[in-house]
Amino acid sequence: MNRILMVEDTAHLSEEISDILRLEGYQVTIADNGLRALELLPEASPDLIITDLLMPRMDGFELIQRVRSMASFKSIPIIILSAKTSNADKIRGKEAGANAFIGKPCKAYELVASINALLRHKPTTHTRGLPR
Amino acid sequence: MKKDTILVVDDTAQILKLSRDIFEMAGFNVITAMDGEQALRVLADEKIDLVVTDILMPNTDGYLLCYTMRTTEKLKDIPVIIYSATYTSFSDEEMAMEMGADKFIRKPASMDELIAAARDLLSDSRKLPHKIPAKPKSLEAARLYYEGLAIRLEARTIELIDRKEKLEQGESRLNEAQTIAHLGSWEIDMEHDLQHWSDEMFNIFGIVKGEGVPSTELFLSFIHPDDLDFVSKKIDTAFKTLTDSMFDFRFIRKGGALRQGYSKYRFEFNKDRKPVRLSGIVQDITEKMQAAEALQNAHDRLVFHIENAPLGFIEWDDQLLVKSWSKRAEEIFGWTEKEFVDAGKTGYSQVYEEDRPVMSEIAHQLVSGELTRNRVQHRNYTKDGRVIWCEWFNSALKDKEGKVITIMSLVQDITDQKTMEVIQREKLERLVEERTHKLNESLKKEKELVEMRNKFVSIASHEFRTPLSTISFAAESIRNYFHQLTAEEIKRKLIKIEDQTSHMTNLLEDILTLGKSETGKIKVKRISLDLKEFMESLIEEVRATVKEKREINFTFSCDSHKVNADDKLLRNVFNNLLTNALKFSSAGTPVTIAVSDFEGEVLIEVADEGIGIEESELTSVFESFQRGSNASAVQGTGLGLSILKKAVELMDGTVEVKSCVNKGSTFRVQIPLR
Repeated sequence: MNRILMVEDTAHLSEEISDILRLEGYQVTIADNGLRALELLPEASPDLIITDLLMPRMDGFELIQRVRSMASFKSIPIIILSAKTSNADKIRGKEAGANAFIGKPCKAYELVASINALLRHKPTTHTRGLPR
Repeated sequence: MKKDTILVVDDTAQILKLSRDIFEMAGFNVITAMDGEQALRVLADEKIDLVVTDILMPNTDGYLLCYTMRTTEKLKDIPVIIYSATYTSFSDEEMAMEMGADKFIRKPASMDELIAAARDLLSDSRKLPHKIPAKPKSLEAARLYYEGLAIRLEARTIELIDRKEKLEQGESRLNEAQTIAHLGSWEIDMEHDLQHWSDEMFNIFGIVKGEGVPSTELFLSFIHPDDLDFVSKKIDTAFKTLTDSMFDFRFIRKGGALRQGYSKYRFEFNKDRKPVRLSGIVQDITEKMQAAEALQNAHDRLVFHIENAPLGFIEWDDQLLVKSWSKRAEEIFGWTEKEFVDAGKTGYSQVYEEDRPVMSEIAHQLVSGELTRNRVQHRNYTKDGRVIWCEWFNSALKDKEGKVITIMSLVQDITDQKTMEVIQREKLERLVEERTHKLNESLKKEKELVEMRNKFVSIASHEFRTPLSTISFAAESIRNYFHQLTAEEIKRKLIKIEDQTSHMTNLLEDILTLGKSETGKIKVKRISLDLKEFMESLIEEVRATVKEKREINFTFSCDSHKVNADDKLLRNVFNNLLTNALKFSSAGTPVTIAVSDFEGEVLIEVADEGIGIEESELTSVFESFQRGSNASAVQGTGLGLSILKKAVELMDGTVEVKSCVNKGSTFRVQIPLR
């Protein structure tokens, strides 16, 4: 069973998403900000990370950069799920090292399809994102 | 005694008749003939004792008659008297003697002289035989002489007739002239004390000739009473001193018209320096005086206008030397006319250097006659060295042949006007600058506003996306995984959908409120409410939405709970303040709310111990979508404080903030609620 770490500060949304992902057969861990996510990361040992961008304490961009700098997670697939949908945000997200960018609101199957695709073609190594 | 017979020869019937009467009275027989030819026929037929003949006569004149008689044997001893006209010369007498005449008597001679001569010759003729003219000239010579004489006489006659006509003409013309000139003439014959007036003299005084006897008394009777003394004295003095003089006087014409007169007179003396004649003229000069007076008036008025006009008046010659320079010109330029002329100044030297070429060209055209009229503005020097702006109206006055006589200029000092123009222009420029600046400012503001609106749309959409996501996912879960979900789970998801829908409704309302407040569409509706209860229930509401348990300290120290307030606006304000205080501070710190009376108004203070606001951002945080730089990690629309500020202002209140980064913020809201 694949494990997913979901980072989202809006509780009602993270609940809904995790409900769906569990129903789709994933094991889900929730963190409500980037800092919390980093704390949970070793124990959760996820196969994929879904993260929001705007969060207190540590935002999504910083989280991604941190994760990519960790040897054991430098190749982990990361999906950004954000209400920030401008091109500038998308580019910044890709530069930080995200594999996919999904804008809020989206259809559940779009998110699930992205997750499935990334896990099936899970690359062996991840390249670090371009420096900011 | 036998009467002697006299033949009288003359071409004038009256003389013949007169002569016949005289000689007959003297006791002679008289036979007459109209010319020499007729006389010779009489002499041939009759016994004639004496011939009295005129010289000038048709056919045969007196000389030829005389000569013929002397050369005829039968007639050679008859005595001949030549009785000739006054204009005959001495050579005529000589000629007559040569022709054999016995006596030459000039007309007019007294009849006694003629009769005496006749008697004398008649007595002599009996004693002394007449001799044939000693050296008789040829008949031809006599004829030539006669012809020459005839021509001379004819010319003389014409001349005399001409002179007479001229004299007559002159007299009537003189009368005419006197009438036209209202000039009468008079003279006093001082030897005989006779006074004569010309026709016009009578006309002048309004009487006709014969209505009064020309005299000094008649003259004085027309003199104006006020001038009578003076005129009488003048006349007395004239007669006493016998000096030529003249005087003006007023007189009253018959009919009562007051007129102005003028008299001039002159004495004439004889060889013994005795005065014989006083002659003079009287002229009615009323019209002349009136015309002169009118002219003087017109002149005075013109001068008055020129001297009092705001324009200076200057007249130049063709070298632009001053001919005349009015008082106003003096005031404008400081020089008097004399000073200007004495300084050797010309119109050119008076012009400001820079403007001289333009002015020179104009002056040249005016002087040459190319230009008749011109209006120009240029600078001039004054006596004290100032430079002033003048407006000139120049014109060239020309004679009938078009030759320029003089250049006339009217000049006005327009320095003030020019200065005003400059001031106005500068003012206008400043105004334009100000307007441009304002326009740029408002353009900048407009641009900022557009940016803000764009940002607003972007943030607003972001704020909508999160709740929309939750709703979307929840709804999808129910549809797709309906059979895998318990009834409880489905119910929870439906509640969540409702919650998020209401959150979105609030957000929408916020945005609409802001929009309304910005366009002035919010109307304040005050209702009476218990402020303490209102606050307490609001605090509970907020507390319920916060996950963590937070310490909220509320103190209420107003004298009265009752206020008049718009509850929606008030709710908005406190909701914002309290939510922000909780949002921007950590769970372990307290939030304090204090409500009190202050300056007759209600003061609400909300304090937290949170992240605080940078000092530089204390004012901008109240603007739409402006968030503190340290607030990016905290969810928010950036609308809260701007809505709050608008709401406070709608209630005529004020809001201010004191803050210290990482120590906390205190918001003070003061509103008149009573």
